[in-house]
Amino acid sequence: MKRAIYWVLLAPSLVYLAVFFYAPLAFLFYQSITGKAGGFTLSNYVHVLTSGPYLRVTGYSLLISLTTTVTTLVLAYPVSYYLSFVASRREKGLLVVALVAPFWVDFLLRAYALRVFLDPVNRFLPGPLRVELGFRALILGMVYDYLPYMLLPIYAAMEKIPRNLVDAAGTLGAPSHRRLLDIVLPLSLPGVVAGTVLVSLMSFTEFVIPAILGGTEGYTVGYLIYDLFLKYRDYWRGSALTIFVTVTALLAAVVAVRKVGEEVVLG
Amino acid sequence: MVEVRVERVWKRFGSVEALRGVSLTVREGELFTLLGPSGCGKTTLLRIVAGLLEPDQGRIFFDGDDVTGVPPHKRNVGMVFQDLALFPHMTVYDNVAYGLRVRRVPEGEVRRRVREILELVRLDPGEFASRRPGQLSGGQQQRVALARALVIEPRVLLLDEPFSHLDYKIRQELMAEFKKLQKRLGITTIYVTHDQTEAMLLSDRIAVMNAGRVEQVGRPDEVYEKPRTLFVASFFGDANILPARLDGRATPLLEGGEGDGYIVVRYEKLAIDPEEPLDYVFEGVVEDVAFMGPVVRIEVRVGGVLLRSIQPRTDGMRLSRGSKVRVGWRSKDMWVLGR
Repeated sequence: MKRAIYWVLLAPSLVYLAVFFYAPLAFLFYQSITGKAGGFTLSNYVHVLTSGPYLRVTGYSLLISLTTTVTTLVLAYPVSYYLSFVASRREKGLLVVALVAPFWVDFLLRAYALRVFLDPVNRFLPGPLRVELGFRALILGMVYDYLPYMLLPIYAAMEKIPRNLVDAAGTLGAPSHRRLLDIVLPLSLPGVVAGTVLVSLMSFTEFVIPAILGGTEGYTVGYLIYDLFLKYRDYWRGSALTIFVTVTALLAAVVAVRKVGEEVVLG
Repeated sequence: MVEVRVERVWKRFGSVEALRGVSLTVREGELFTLLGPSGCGKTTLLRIVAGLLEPDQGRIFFDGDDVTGVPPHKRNVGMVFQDLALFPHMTVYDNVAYGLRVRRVPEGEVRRRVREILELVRLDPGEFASRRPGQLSGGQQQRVALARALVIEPRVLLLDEPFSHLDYKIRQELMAEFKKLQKRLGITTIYVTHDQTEAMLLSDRIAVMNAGRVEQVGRPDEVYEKPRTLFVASFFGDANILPARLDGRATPLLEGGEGDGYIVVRYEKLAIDPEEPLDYVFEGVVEDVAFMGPVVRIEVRVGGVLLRSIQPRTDGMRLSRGSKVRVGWRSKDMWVLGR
């Protein structure tokens, strides 16, 4: 009886997911293995995986994703550490709000604000430091957008580390850098993986920020998919590329999570 | 071996005075207990000795060395935490080896010393070395924590209620083992607990703490038999505490009223229906008889107060609720404390 009630409560979400997420995905998959004239074919995938321009755009998107992920990780880790282990309660509250505030502003608005802001800033910078529209500006925008997605999981993982473990390492003779390396780092790894998966997946297919801040270097795989569907009306290759990108990204995420899960057996 | 000296230590957290001028000396090789209710400052003091907290005022000495400003990783103390704080991502072996590795002890010697210490705490290295803490029972985890603290051959061993999370039976077993081990190693040990039975069982000497102060220091039997304050009398061992008037012969005020002191009588010194004449005798009514194994605890209402007596089982068995009895005690079995 009780079970039945739970099912009733679950049903709307399940139906919603099935109709609006799994069904379109299945349809996309179906389309990706169908030829323009109908009938089963793998030619869409062959084209996506072998044509130079497709691979170049995909590779470039990977580079953007990698750069964004590494940069946010390098920025977020020390901040998380400071927040979790050093900051006073009051400082914590203020900093978290300051770091998460960008979340509350629409991301299009943020990207345009940054774009408009680059001009006056560049006027004061010497040549080599200027950030013109292009790869650097694009990374700047991506990092700024995705930093919270890296920061929050790492911070949450660090908050869960019992402080006594760090103290215990101290009484056993570990100076602060060893406590960080031997205790905090391995135990915060689940947060690092969560943040890395989130940021790398999202930044891989991002195309709005590159479009606004990338100038001529703003063409990414997300953009290509957009063009395939809406500009060239090539739904078949568009589907194949979408499925390829999604599956690869998900596989990478699963491998990363598994690996860390094995290394860090908690409790 | 090391003598630990704590000199006039003060510590405040926000508006809370955790320690208010604590001084004490722990002798070489002694098992010294800090006993008190939660919030009395005992854990704070232990963490200050470990170097995990800095005192606002006062100094800590190991032998002659002033270690007050020395960080924990340079103090060479072994600490067992209340939650044990075993590293969950390391094996038993790596947990125990950790303190040696950060000291850059050669790996061959690490292996030998880890094996030796695991055997000392009676954990079979072959069986347990490669397990994670999560795969051990509470008692086994306890042994690992102790091994990890001892393997670095610390100057001082510090334990913060290390047995509190264990079942009664295993706790008794491990405590008895620990006491022998401590004597055998002769390591100066400070042990924090709120459990008076633990303190009595283990300690060479006890410091009873209350509200950030040390109320009394002494051997367990000394503290039990000659408590210096009302707090010690009530916290360490069970005692009837009666308001009293102290002019001339001390008189308990059994019908209420403001006295200028207290009469303290241990439960076991309060006689029920005494046969010989006693210095103090009162009429009362039994309110409860509780079976406690070899003894019974009898509650007797006398006037406005409830007195408790612990008697060997055979004597107590005849009583039941509502019985009229006489209760009494000898002058030499009570203490009188001023207000």
